[in-house]
Amino acid sequence: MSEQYIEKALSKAAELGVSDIHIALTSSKSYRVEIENDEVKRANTVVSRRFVVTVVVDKKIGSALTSLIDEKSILSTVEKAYRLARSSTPNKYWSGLPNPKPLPKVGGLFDNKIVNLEAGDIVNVARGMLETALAYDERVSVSDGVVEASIREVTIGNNRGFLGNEKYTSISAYLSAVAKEKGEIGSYSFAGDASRKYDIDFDELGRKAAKLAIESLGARPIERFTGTLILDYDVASSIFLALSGAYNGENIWKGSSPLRDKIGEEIAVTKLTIYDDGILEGGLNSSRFDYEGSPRQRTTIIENGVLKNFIFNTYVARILDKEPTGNAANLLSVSPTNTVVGRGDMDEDEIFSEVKRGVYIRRFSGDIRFQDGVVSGVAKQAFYIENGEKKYPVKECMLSGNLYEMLKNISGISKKIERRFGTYVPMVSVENIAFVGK
Amino acid sequence: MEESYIDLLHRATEYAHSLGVKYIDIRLEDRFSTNVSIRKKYSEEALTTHTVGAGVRVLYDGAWGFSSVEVISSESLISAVKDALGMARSISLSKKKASHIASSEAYREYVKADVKKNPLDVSLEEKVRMAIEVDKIVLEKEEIKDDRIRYSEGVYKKFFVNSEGTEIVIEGTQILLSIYVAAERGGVITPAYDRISKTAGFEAFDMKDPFELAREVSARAVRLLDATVPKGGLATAVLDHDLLGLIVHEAFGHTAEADLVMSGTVLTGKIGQQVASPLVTIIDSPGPSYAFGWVPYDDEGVKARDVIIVEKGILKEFMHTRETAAEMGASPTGNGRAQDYRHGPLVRMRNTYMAPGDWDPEEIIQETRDGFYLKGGLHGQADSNGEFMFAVQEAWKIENGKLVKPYRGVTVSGLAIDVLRSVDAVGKDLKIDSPGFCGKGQWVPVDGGGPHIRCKIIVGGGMR
Repeated sequence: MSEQYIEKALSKAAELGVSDIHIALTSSKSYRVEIENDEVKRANTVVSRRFVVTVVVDKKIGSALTSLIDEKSILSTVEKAYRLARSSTPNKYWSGLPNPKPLPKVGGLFDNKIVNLEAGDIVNVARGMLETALAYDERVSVSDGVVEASIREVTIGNNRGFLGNEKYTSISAYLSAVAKEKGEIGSYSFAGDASRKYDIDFDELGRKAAKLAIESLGARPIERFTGTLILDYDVASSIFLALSGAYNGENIWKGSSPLRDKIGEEIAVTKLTIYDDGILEGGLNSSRFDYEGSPRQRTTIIENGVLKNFIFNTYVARILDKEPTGNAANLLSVSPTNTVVGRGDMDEDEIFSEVKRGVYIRRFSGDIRFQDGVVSGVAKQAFYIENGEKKYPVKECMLSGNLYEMLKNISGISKKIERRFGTYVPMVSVENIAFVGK
Repeated sequence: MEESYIDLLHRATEYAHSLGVKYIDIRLEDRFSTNVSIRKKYSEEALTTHTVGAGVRVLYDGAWGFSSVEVISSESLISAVKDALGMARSISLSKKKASHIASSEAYREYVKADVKKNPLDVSLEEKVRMAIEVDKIVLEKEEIKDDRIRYSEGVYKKFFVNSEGTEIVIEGTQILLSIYVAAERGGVITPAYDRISKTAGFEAFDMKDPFELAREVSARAVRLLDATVPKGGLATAVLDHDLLGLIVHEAFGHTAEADLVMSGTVLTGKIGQQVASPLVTIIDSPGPSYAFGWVPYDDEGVKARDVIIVEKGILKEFMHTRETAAEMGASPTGNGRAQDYRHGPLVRMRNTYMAPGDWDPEEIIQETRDGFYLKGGLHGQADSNGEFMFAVQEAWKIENGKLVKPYRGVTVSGLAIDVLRSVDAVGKDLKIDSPGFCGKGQWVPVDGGGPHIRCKIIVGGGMR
């Protein structure tokens, strides 16, 4: 069915006389169960379809999207894209769609267990996760949470002869809890995970959300000091995701990344290695091809502290005279796939034991800017550490540092890697961070 | 077509009734939108979209089920009703506490936004030309090294029918032009941002000239290059309507959304208590009609009304959906909003502002011996305990009633309640023009603002 529509759209575009045409047809179905205030509150099913066509006429680009998928609507959508392209302004950088290349094999993108889930199964999973959290301690209440399972099919075609079709499954869950005791409200916790396979430990998420909420009770302010910051997996995930902006080819081209002329330079401690891995087996953002139909791949970004590569789509790669890396978010923009950080050599305990004075944070509310490296915000779910010992939870602790200095001040990387939403990261400790209490 | 849309929705609700469903509502949305994005003289995006879909929500045996579809026919809606009912059943089996909805009148109305120049009647060329011209103007200043100009329009019809006899059709139009620029000199980067976002048609650009705004924004970014970064600390500050709107919405308003109140915010259990200075009155309103967050009826078919959250410093009322109203023994307020037909409604703000006082705005600055004048917000974070941090667009040092020196890279932070308690002057110059999109798992357009006010706030120089 999808192929038929794509054929029709391609011949319509040929009639109109466009130089490039690209089509993306997606359909998805998802079940989403929402938890709110200690209850499984709502169960939703969402069925969605999108036909998106992009055409180029004299380097002028126009796109049109519709949810109405029938022959008439598809042909009129192609015409709309054409009219919009005609009305637009030329993009002098446009140099055409990519030619088809062989695609890699990637395993673990589709799990029949997820396909066979019924609404009631997701409700039971959500309920189990919620009950585990509530049973952990009577001071815990769950403010919100979600369990969502989806199936998605993507078909991409263009007038260079690319036609690709792929099906993915995914399941994700999170829970946010808060503990209350004698009028004190602790800090909200967050525990979440996502996978292409039905392999999430929902009970563990429930326990974790509750445990973190309880541990944040009795928080005390700290005084101003400079010391070690230990980033738990969730926060490490945010930091490395923010860093991906700096090696995104789009920002290299546009000049907003400070890494733009640093290939081959040592920008981090030697024990740091980072990949953008679009073909990671079972990876949440893995697939065989990207939005433009280019093959996904594994790209080494930082190897033993040295900056090796950036990530590109065809459009940006050609402008900078590089090769595309299978990172097309759409025809003009670039996005990371799975951010994979290489494992370190330390046990979690060792990381703590080496800290003289520091703060361990498990949630961060603030700004991490790749443009100038500013890291500034409030440490949440945080602990004060002295001589290797977790002393007490802290409150209202602002921290400030610089992302690029942090890369050079990493003192510890854990052996353990944890999966977050599309990131695979260790626990990391960083020296010389300013903490400002009240 | 419209007549038949409404008929289809009625037929599906009747079908649900025959299955024993006591409450059902169906929202159908037909939306056309266009986005044009220009950056440094070339087009980054030109996209036009047309989507049609419906969301069916049933309350069955104390449990909610929801299902959305994008094929609109009698059969597909009936199958969506079955799905929604199946979802509700699976939850109801072990629900501890049944969900209820507070009663609401049955309304029948066809509402049209006040639109003079329908953007669908304006040629694509003209829209693209406007964005290109704005881009050209901001790039005239050589210090401007990056920009992004975005034009966006949405023209929609929303149909709402429920099993209580409510039948609402809303025709709305939203228009948006946003201007982001970054000036750079000697490694110092200063961003500036502004936007025209209204419930209106193309006439929005007659009310506010986009080219004038382009000149203002680029001049602001360039001016900030010469500014220095201030020393941080608790300070007296005069805030403009835009920054105040951001704080009132993000750091205070969310803590008065009933669903969050029930999970515990800084305002939980505090109705009737003094939570702000007696000079402070905060309102979440369905209007004015031009506001970006215009909501005549919410997505539960409730006629939207003003919610006076704080009156003269006293916490009066929270914002509700029909469900939270039932749970808290309140009346629905028309704050049940959904991003689109693919989502169920949640408690959301509309246009949230601080009511005006009796100070002349100039007088507030003249009467300030030592402090800051802070204008506009850029981005930031707020938590349900009211703790916030925002980047400020423009800042000046005030000395003896005069603006003496500009600063850049300024942030404000603190607890919303501390800031509102410290308000000691409220201007009479109310301005509701602080539009944006608010995210709470779903995105909805909102607006807000207030007059110039003076308060105590933690000013930081974090954004070097």
